[in-house]
Amino acid sequence: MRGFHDYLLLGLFSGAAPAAEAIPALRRLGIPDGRIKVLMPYPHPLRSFARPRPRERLTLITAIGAAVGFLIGVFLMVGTTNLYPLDVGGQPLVPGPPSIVMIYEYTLLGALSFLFFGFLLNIRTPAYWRPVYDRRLTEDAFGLLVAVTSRQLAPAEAALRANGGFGVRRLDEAGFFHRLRWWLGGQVSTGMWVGLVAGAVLGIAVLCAFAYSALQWIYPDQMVTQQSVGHQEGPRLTAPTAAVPIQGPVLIAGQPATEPLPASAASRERGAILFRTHCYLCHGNEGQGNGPLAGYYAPPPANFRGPVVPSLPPSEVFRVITLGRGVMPSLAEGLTAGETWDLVTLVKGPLPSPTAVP
Amino acid sequence: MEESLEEQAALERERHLLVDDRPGRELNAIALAPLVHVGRAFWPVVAFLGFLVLVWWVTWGFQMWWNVGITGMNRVVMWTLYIANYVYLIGIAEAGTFIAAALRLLDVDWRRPITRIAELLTVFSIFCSALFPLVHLGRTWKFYWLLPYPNERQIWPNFHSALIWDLTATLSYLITSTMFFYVDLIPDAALARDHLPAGWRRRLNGWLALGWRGTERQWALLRKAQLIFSIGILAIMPSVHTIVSYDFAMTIQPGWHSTVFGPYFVAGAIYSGVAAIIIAAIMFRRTMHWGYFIRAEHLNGLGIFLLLTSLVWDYFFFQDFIVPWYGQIPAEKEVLLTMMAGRGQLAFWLMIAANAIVPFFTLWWRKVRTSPPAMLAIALFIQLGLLLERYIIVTVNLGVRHLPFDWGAYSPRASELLMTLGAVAFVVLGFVVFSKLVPFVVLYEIKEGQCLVQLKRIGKGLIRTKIE
Repeated sequence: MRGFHDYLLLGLFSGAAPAAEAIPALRRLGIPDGRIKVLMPYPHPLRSFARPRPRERLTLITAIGAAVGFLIGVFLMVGTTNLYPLDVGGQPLVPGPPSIVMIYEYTLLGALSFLFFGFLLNIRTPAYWRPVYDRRLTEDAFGLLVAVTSRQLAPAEAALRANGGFGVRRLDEAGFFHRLRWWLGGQVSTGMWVGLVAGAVLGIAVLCAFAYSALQWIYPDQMVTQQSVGHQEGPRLTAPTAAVPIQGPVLIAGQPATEPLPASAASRERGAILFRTHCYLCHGNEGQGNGPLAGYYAPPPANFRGPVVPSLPPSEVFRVITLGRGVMPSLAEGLTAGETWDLVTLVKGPLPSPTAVP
Repeated sequence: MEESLEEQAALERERHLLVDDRPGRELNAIALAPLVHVGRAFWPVVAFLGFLVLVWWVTWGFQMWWNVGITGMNRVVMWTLYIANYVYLIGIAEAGTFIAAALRLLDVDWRRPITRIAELLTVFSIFCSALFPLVHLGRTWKFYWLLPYPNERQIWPNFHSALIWDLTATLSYLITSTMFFYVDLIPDAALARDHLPAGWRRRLNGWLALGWRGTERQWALLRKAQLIFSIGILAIMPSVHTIVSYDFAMTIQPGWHSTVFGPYFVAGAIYSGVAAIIIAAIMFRRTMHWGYFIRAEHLNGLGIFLLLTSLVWDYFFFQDFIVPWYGQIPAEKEVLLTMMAGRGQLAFWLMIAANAIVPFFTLWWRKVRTSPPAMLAIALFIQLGLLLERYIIVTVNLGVRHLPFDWGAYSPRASELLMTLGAVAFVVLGFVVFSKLVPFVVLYEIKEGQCLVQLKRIGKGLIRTKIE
């Protein structure tokens, strides 16, 4: 309520129609529209009350929010990438089309956040101090809240009652001290204070938990307790007494690999099948290093018939298949040690005929 | 067929919420009853769901200590059930607010008692889904490295990465849908503040209501804010789930690298969301004795919407299937074979049955759409189908790479299954607990609708008419 007034009057009405009837009566008493508020239990069409349209600027606020969000998006996409240049495989520094995706999201986030807080501020909340109010206003009753001077008080009250107002209430000395009482905690319970303090402590705890670089907080991890062994570092440990022996790629520096399988016909047959899945695409049908994907690699895949591969000992071929070398990936994950030896016998012996692969 | 006007009026009132006017006092009592009365089943249910959620958190702690090796993840299939859960839950979440917003903009009258259920579904499941990428992280406590925040080393996230877009989109939706939910809640919180018996619930609703009095200015601003929010949500929702699909489609993984993935994911999201709203509405009707608010007409409306979304999903699924099938590119073909006839075949055909066949052959009939048990069964089956869809897309598909030496298999282990169970329990628990905190129906919209919709006598019959 703007302007000078001494009393607040609240009249309750059984419906929208009697409330609407009372408004012209109040106007005739010289009470301007700005001193009357219609309270409604649900959004009734405003035309019923023939009142000036409430002014609101939510669209403008949303548009400003969208602009802010847009600028934040642009800052993150263009600004931060220049603050900390991150070279990603020959791509441009500022992500082009992806920027559209991100700026879109930030724009909408900015628009809706501004809308939300703009809405809360514009409906004059939070305002826990309610000057005059009645619980029936959230049932069926419509209300008129009128700010009057002492001279207007009696006729305004009569006008409300004459138009069907029931439960007319008034509040004297509407003003500053009631507001202050709320802020000083007159209506704030102990529980709320406990809640506020607990929330603050929790908030600080969360901040501390994430401020690792400032506090050097020690997180529990297993890096100090676990044994540290370098890559392929020997010596090989002996198995515990009850351990079940397994076949596997055993490649400890300075020690021989597992016992090779004999180069039987069955082994070669199994190898030929595995060759199609694991080798053919790069090394080609006949192992000449000319598979369908060979052109994508530099250096090109090894030619099994070239000078190098036949001269390698079987254990070295086993090691390359298991660990990978250069652009060749490790195949240890998809192959057991036995299967690896099947492939070694194939690579070391005569290679499959061209019909092996469709 | 000559019915007297009284009979007609009684029949219309029984069928339609908006002409079944009751005094505000009575409506408030029905809406607030669940906040005050605690049924016999309440605490056992809360204890059970709370236990499942606790199992989730303990399992998560266990996984943080022993790390992700305890899951079924391997180098080839490194995205597993956690990511499937993320996509599934965010799908449900996005659909909730989206449906509330779309139906409000279209001014569909059967939305009125359902809006808040949809919004709350969004709030809980998006919170839950946002946790799953963190569950998936090996070092969960470093998750904030993903956020673009100023730090002393001036390191910013790499915005070329779809995973950063994903994080932005998820957080945007979490924030905006929570705000949307809250804006809608304010007048109902004021109602609860005024009519609950004195106690902490009344005080809580008093704080939430922010001193709402229902002045004409406040209502006008609320309507405007709801309008802009609805438009904003309609703009943001498809973008969010499309960005989730980019996590997959921006790779060159066969089966994922598809231009139709965005709309396909959006269709699946809305589909699962509608089914989830149906489940929630039926459960509310039963447990809160809300036969007054949620009636056959609402289930019918939701059922038609479900059938429609089912057909849209069928269309996009077929698009995503037919193009690689016809193209016969070896890697793509292998993906389809693995799904249809290989490791994924049980899940695949179950998914087809749940998402396409069962809804199509049941939802055409009004009798099915208005029967709560039938709708509950169908909606639950659809949920299973859509979870399986995400499971197939993430894990089965990822096991088939371009080169055959690089293939892998995945099966979930105890940690993944327990956390999935806990996540579902979390969403349900959120509903159960919140049903005791705030009103679960947008009562001012129902009162508004009852004011606008009236029975009018034209000739020999009573016709429902709406005042605009």
